[in-house]
Amino acid sequence: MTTFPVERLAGVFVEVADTLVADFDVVDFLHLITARAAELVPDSAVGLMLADHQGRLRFMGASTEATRLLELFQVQNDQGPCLDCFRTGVGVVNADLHDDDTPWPQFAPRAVEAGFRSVHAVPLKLRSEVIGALNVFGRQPTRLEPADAHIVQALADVATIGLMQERAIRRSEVLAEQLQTALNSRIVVEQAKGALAQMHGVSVDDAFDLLRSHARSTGTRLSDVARRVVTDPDGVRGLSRP
Amino acid sequence: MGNPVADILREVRSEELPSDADPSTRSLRRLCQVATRLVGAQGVAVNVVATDGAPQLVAASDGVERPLDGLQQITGDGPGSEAFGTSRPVLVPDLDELDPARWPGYVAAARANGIHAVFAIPLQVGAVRLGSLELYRSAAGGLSADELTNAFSLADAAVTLLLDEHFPVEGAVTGPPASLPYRAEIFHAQGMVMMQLGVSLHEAMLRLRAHAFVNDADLADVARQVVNHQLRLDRPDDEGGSYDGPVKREGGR
Repeated sequence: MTTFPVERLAGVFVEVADTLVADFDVVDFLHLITARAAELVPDSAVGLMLADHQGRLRFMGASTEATRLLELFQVQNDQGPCLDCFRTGVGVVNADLHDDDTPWPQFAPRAVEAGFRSVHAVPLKLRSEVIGALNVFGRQPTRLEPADAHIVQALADVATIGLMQERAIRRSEVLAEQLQTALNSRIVVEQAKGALAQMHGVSVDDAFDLLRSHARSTGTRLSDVARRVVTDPDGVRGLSRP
Repeated sequence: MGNPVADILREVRSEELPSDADPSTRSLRRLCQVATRLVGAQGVAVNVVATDGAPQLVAASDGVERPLDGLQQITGDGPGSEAFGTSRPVLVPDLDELDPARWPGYVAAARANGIHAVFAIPLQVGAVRLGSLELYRSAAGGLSADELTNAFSLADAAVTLLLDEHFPVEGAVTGPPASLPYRAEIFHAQGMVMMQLGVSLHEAMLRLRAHAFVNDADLADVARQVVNHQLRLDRPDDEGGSYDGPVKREGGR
């Protein structure tokens, strides 16, 4: 039996499904998945990585855009639960970051330094192919129950479905095309975060919230707002601080 | 796991070309030759966006009929233009199955040139769009998973070559980096420099790379300093030269 509040759980899956309408934004959608996963797992931060064509894991979204969290994802191209999960296709649940015998001697101390005690990773899988991983960092030593881990996996599955949904999938090559496009969209968002941070004198983390609230209030896709910020900054001068 | 982009760049450097090849696009032309083998294509072309915004053919493998690309420049439609315009790969495994209204002029010209499948990959770094890589096949059929992976790696290699050679930075004497670094702070710094200097994102990217090259610094370190407000790049005017176009590099390898 899951320890997550059942009403909240139902709400999360309805909200996520509701996002999968025509022309939704994949960067925004994956951010939503991580934000909701972080709400379900008490006192946690959640991030999602996708593999590029070279098999390198690249950051796609997180419940908080805090720089230290991003660094933890970066480290994982060398070692870490996300990388293990991506390579094996098997989830990592309830890994203790304080464990002396940690399989990730470089990653674990940095995660502890960032305030985390435990870590979990579940794969994003399409049929037999692993395309990325969802990473949950816990600030408390509490353990994830097996039923809770299944729900986190279900959210990762929905993320995969969303990635495939953005455009109708008829051929296997569309998967690679889709990943490629999603990864580039994320870069556009990062570039726009930098431009907005400079424009408004805010941190790049806060710049992401600015982008999102502007996209929401104007009914524009997050990636489209981001692209406008970096191609026509004068056109979005009105994009105000929250 | 190896680094396919670095492998491609190594192979590109060892590829032999006829001596009459235009030196400014020699590497891209080698890349196109290498690409024909890696993706099983009869022709490969690289289109690069010119200052007026339209992609133009700058390099091609043997076997690419130039009139076809000439036509594409005139009509403005075709897979390369679409990949460039939409920032998405455009994969057409069978031109015969294509809606004839999609690229009316292009399809007829492609068929006349014996092309039955075409694949175009955008050459881009986020919102910085440089051009497109086009792969032509004389027989209909999709790319295999390996061929598609190779096509994306070739596009990465082409972006690296474009940044280092087609839009070179002054003073850059090192060989191309093994592959493009994907670190969030590099992209943040590009956006910040763009606003600081009032230049395009493309130019901001070139200026960051130039600063790293000139100071023999790691691009990620330079980017981190910019993001942490420890470094602010000078305005182009302050350096006594404008930065309004590709800079000719001399004597570079």
